[in-house]
Amino acid sequence: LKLQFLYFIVAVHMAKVTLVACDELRVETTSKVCNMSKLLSELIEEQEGECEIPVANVRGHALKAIVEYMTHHCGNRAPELEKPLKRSLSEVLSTWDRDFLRVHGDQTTVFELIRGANFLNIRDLLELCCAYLAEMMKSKSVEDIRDMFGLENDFTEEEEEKLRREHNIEN
Amino acid sequence: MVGQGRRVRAEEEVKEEQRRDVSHPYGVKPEGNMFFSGKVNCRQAGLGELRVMTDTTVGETLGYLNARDLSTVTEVSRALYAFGHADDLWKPLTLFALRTDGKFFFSKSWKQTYINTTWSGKNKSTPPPQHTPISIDNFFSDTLYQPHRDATMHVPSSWTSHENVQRVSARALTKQQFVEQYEAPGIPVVLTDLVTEWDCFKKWDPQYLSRWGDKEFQCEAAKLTLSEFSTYCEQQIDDRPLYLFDAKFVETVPEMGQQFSVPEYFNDDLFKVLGTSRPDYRWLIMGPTRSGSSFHKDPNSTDAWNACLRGLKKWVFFPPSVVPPGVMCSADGSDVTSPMSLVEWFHNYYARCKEVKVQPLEVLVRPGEMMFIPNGWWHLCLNLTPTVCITQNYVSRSGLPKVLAFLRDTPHNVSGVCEDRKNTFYKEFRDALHEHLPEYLAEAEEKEAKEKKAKEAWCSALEGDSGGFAFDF
Repeated sequence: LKLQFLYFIVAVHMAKVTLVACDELRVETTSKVCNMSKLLSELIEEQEGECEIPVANVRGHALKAIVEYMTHHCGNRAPELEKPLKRSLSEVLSTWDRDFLRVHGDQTTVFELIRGANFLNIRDLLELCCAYLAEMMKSKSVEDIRDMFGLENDFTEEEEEKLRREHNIEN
Repeated sequence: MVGQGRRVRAEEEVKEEQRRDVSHPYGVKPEGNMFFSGKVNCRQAGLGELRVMTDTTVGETLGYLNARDLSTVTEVSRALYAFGHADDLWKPLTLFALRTDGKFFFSKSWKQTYINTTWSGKNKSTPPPQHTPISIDNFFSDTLYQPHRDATMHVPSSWTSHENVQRVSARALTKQQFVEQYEAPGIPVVLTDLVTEWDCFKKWDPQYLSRWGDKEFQCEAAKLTLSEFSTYCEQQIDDRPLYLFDAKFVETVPEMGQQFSVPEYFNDDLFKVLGTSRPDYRWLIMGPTRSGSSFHKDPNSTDAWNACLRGLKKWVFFPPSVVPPGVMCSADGSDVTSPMSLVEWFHNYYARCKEVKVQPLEVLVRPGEMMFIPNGWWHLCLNLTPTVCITQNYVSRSGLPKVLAFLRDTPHNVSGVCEDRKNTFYKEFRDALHEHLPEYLAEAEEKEAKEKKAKEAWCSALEGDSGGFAFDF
């Protein structure tokens, strides 16, 4: 009876899970890997064993990257990133995380990763992406940041004058 | 009726304290206001590509920036101006800056306080520059508005009026009665006519305390002087105000230690056998309105008492086996959700307590009263007015078996000692007990052995019936 119990536990962990992106791309993984996502682990628990889960607002290539992240960090969580970042991000990240960002760090994909990590509730991946965006904003000018993210300057002239005055005094 | 009168006076004191009709300093409004305002939320244009992120995620991202970069971001657009001035961002930057240099001087906002702190660190002779908030009239965000709502709303009497904890006068309760009726069975109780005898209760008003104005005390991540902390308390509009919580107050100000005495009920205090290497056990606590502690169990399975010298404290208790609504315990014990403010907990979860099978114990403790917190009980404390308390954790004779089991079976959860000492702390304590109080140790171990035997007898009786192996997840 005890042996059957053990087999059951192993089967639950290694159960095949297929995630389906919004563009129909299918990514296969295991339930153990999916434990990194709070949402997925809840859904899988309800299903008990092999199952298929649609991930509505994430596209195929981003979903693949997310599963890649979870697979690598399953049982091997990245340490929490300090706030604020005192050194450059590349200094505090593991080689694997650095490479991950190098491959998936284009603007479009990063936002897709954030959307996916948010939806799937994968804290570590969300933190990594937020820190990456923050790193991009470091030591930039106001204009640089506007260009980077396509933002509008919607201050009134009066407000801009106020900001300029405060900025100059502080420095 | 004394109880009635006390309740009415308490509510009036709370109302007096909450004369706050403050609009958000940066003009942030809740999302519900959008439809009636006739304005378009500046979020879309002001965030650009970043608009796909939730408000919380934008805040997370900005949290990685240092002060200079954060200031730059606030000049980019109106939406980022609002996001970039959140207290959640400037408060940790300020407390962090304090570690290197600068004197803490709170005024108006955490951004201004940051400027004050770092300006003094530069040793400038001129006063610090003034940050004048711009009120953004078209920014709507529930996430950013909520802390402001929590920090400024009136605490409704529905949160504070329900009381079902016993009050007992120390004049009518011997130590043995206390142990038999409350400590051993683990029942929270409020003790009266105890603290009222203490010098500190009679003397410690703000004017008296100002004699120690330049003494430093631990306030969460920072060390502040008492006068710096007082200024902060008067001016702050925080949904999660800083709490002064200092374990070394008697060492810092020996006269404080002379103005109270540990009541006889609690004088076993068995960690005393460890002498100077005992874990932290007594704290001076001070906090403004809305400060307090969210749900927790006290360390090392100890019992505790909390003497209220000034202010009104709302306590909510749940028994050891009942996890309170809104508290999320992960399997490995780490905190998986971001901490919510006490006010937020009351908003979201207090009403649910009426629907739960096991109702909480609640009480409003007044100055001169002492709360007894039995080991293992979940408890939360919200300060309704500025408060000053002294609290101690202790290992009672009746609670010793539980403490020994806790230290032995869950060494990773031991607190108050450094990491390398956790695994050997059980042995250390046991050895010290064996040396100084062998009869108490023997009594505790005998008690545990008896309980173990009884449990085993039950199990074997059950196994006999079902014929073998039974499991549950």
